[in-house]
Amino acid sequence: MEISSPSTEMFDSTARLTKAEEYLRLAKVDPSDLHAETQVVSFAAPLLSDDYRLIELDKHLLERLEQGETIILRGTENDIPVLCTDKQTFQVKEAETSNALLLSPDCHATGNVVKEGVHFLGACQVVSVRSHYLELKEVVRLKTSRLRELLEERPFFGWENETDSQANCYSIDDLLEQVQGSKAQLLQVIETLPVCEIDGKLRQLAFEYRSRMLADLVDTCESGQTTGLSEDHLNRQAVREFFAANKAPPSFTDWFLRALCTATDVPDVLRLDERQVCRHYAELLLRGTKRFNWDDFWTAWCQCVPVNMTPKESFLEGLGLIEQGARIKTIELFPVEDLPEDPQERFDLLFRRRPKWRHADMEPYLRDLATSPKEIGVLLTKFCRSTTVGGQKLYNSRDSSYSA
Amino acid sequence: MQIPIRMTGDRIDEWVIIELQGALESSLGGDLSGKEIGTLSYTKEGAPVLIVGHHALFGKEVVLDKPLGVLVKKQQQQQQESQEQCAPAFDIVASVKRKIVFKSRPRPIVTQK
Repeated sequence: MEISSPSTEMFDSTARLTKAEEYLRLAKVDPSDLHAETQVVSFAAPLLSDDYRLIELDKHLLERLEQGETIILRGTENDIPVLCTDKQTFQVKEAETSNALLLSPDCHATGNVVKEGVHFLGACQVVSVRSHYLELKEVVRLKTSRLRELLEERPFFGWENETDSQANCYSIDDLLEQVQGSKAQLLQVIETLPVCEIDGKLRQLAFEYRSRMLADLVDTCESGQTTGLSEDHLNRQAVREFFAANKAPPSFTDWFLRALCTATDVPDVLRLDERQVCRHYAELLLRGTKRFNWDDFWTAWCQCVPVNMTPKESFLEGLGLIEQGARIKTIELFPVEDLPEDPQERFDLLFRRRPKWRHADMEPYLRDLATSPKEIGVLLTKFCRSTTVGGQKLYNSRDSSYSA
Repeated sequence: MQIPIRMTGDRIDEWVIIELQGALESSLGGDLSGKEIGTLSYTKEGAPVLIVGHHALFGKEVVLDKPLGVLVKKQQQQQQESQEQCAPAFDIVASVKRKIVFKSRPRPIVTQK
């Protein structure tokens, strides 16, 4: 489509309008059928098209911006950027159209074009021509691998092992410089990790530190010597005082009560959570040995958990992988947290580890990738093939190089 | 890295997009700055008509499913405390909630000359 160069006629507004109306008549449009205002549309001078970028927003995002909120783009140079409000995260992708989008600050549309009166010539400008715009896709579940890496740089092993250095210690704001997600979603993920805030920094609690503290508390409970501290009856304040006396940071108690205890009917009284505490002891045993003979493991596990607790095989979901061989049953450490977050990579790793899986065995290793059992089903259909052997449905890789 | 996007001033103006099929070329070639595109009129029924060169384009006004934000990148000078001289930011200078779309084939205008 060609654009005419400016001619002397243009500077004479009446002549220009006359010419426009002549063209309209030739195009079979009767000027008397038109609203009063006809606008000459011109490019701005200078035309700085590339200064402008278009981004698709949903109504709510626009409203928030109109109310003065700031939204933030996060990511390093190598990342696909994400756009974050305080609670939501959106992946940003560039979309293209084959059309030309002409951006005008002052073009009158049907809402504000002058309708009545003598026909006249108005003017408006186009400040940019775009054929690309940014599209947003909401990210409900954040990727956590970078966050975990950062938190693992400097775990907390207890005050006696701390130095003055703050290197590799990150506050929530430090983390937001490097991790791609909204603050609220990030804090939600952190709540599920063995992390607590110490001196303004978010610190991963080292496994051995957690073990030591748990063991001390369990011993105290079993000795019955301290009021307010028994396995079924943990008084919140008594727990706080116990850990304070053991020189734990104040926030350690919050983590402990949240991660290893459950509420009772009585306010401020909790009990040790059997599943979480038994899992902790299972992890302790499994970390010590590459592969455990099942019977040895079971015996050791029963012995080391608190006296009133009973281990169950189901407590090991997503933590230990049980291999039932022809003659021997074994277990080894295989935590879901160590698996890749990308679904294809996850399934590849699972099938390398074991070519065929039963649903019940595989499901705990997929729960963190989905928000419902239905979504897990979708993943299985997409990434696996299934066969039925002896009435039992087994999943295997779509990639034939993983066959048993 | 964190790059903020925010409104400057106390409101976000509403701009308009005119959507044309294909790309635009100038009959003179080169820079489009300051050049006239054409004239835009509205029929009493609210239908837009765009005359570009020797073509008449008939279009319609459409409300966007999702509004667009118009961003302008801006380098800000930080004050003394920060070690960085400039922190990039984006201003949202306008929103676009409706566009005037010309999708039908242009009708050529044959003049007498």
